[in-house]
Amino acid sequence: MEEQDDRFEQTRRRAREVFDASVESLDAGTRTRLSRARFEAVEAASRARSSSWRTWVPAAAVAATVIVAVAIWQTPERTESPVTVAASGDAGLDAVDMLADGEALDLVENDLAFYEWLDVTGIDSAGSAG
Amino acid sequence: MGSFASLPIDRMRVVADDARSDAGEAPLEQSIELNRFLAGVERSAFRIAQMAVRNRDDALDIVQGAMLRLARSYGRRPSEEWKPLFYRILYNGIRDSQRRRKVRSRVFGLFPGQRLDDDFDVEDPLERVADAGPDPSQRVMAGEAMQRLEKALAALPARQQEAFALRCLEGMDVAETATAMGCSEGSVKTHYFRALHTLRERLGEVW
Repeated sequence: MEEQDDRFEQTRRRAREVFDASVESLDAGTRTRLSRARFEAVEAASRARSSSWRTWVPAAAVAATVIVAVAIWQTPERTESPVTVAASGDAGLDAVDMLADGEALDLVENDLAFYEWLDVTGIDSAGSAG
Repeated sequence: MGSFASLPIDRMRVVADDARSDAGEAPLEQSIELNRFLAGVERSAFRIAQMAVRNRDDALDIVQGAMLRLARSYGRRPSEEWKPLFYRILYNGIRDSQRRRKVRSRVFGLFPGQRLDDDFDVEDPLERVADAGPDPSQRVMAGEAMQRLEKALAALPARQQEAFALRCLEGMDVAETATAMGCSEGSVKTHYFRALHTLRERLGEVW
């Protein structure tokens, strides 16, 4: 097992030596192109850093505007009148509402005539003549 | 008393740090750090890419793309994370290039007489600049050994090639290699052991 490890180590070391030698012997043209690529990358990183806030601030402003607009648009409209809402829990206001409504008064008058007619005809509520 | 005395010094440090940051010194330091990192990996990354795609210009494009991607997307990450990220991007580039090349060769195979665009490459004048490298005999010997290594490596499955290149040639540890390859540390160990075993058999004792 140890012998195998030694042989693997030998292969590993030799491969590394050969690879390092090939890296060292790269031609000038390749080395120059790699350096140029590196400078471009470093420059791109600086540009990305400096322009990041210029990109995000307008984007955040647009996003905030859209959120506000959607919030306003989505808010349900109040269809009930304030008087109706207030009257729902207050019996006194029912009368006011009825008095304000002309049709409701007609109904009250009609109902009185109906009860008078019932009294005259002598028919009780169960339907038998009295 | 001592704690009171240290307060102004701490405050001064904070102010100095803020001032340095305002003056843009921190980004400058980051740029220097990134430049140092890329300078340290660019040549071996190029050789690894060249071994994988067997084309100098494609390898240069792949390394350039990996540098740009790392700088733009991960330039602000801690520098300790750069190496595995860079090699992960590099190997993605290698795989893309190999895929494109396969498609291109299939397409050109349909039209006999057509040549791949590599044949039309214009020579870069920089290639004619004199080298200050090792002497020619050393270069020939190293070149022959490298050719044998390249040939043996090319015969390995892709994942074994990747594990061997990162662990042995680039000298990354198991955890970094696992991050770069996007697999578990156990898989890295298996791929690396198999690669080493096969290379040992193929290259022999005297290599």
